[in-house]
Amino acid sequence: MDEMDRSEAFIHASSFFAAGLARVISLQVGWLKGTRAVCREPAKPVQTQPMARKTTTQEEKPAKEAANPAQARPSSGSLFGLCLAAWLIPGLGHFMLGRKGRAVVLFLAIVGMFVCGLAMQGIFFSTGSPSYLHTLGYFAELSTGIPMPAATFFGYGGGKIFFVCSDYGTAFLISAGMLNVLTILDAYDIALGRKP
Amino acid sequence: MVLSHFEALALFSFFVSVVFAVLSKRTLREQLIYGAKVFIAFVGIAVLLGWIMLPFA
Repeated sequence: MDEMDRSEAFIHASSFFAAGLARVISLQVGWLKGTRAVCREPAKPVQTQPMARKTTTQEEKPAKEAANPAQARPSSGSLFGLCLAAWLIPGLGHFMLGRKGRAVVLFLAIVGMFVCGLAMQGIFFSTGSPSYLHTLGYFAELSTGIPMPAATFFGYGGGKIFFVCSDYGTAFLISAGMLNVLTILDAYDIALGRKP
Repeated sequence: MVLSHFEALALFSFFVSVVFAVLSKRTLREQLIYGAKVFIAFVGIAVLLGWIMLPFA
């Protein structure tokens, strides 16, 4: 029976890992399609007034960005900071982008799922395990951000493997991390203007 | 916290459907409809698969 529970929890975790992977692949495919579509478009001549004087910054900007400066690509540093913030505290990336309602719901859902995992004595994996699946599990749980080290700081002992709901708890912890990865990718998309 | 299989499934489905709905849809109405669909799909498919596997238990 314990083996059944373990396999069920593993199926849950791997299905959400696969969902996250599919999301990343779909994003990349969408990005490639967008790039190709841009490449297919004929270059539009930049309409300037004959007597208007161009500044140096306007000349350096690509025509597309100059036409719509609001959609200019943010700097790599700000994108990195956004993704880091979104990783550390679930929903903070959306909060920084002005989506405060979404940020609160995402925070409550992901942290709530993580806390439920803790309440069910889910296992904290470590990188020292010989099993590569445990190592993947460690990174999945670490994807939740601050809540994992915070739980350890406040005395969570890493779960009890013989507790009746421990496998479900582990699935909750891993899934919370994977959902936070989706949240980070969504914040990244919004920052780049790929998503409204 | 000790939960039955179904309670754990329902709780899991609830959290995941909330996040999927918030990330996938824009308006509140769309989010509610999509979240409800994902939740029902999670629970319904799990119950269906359990029912199919029942003879082999």
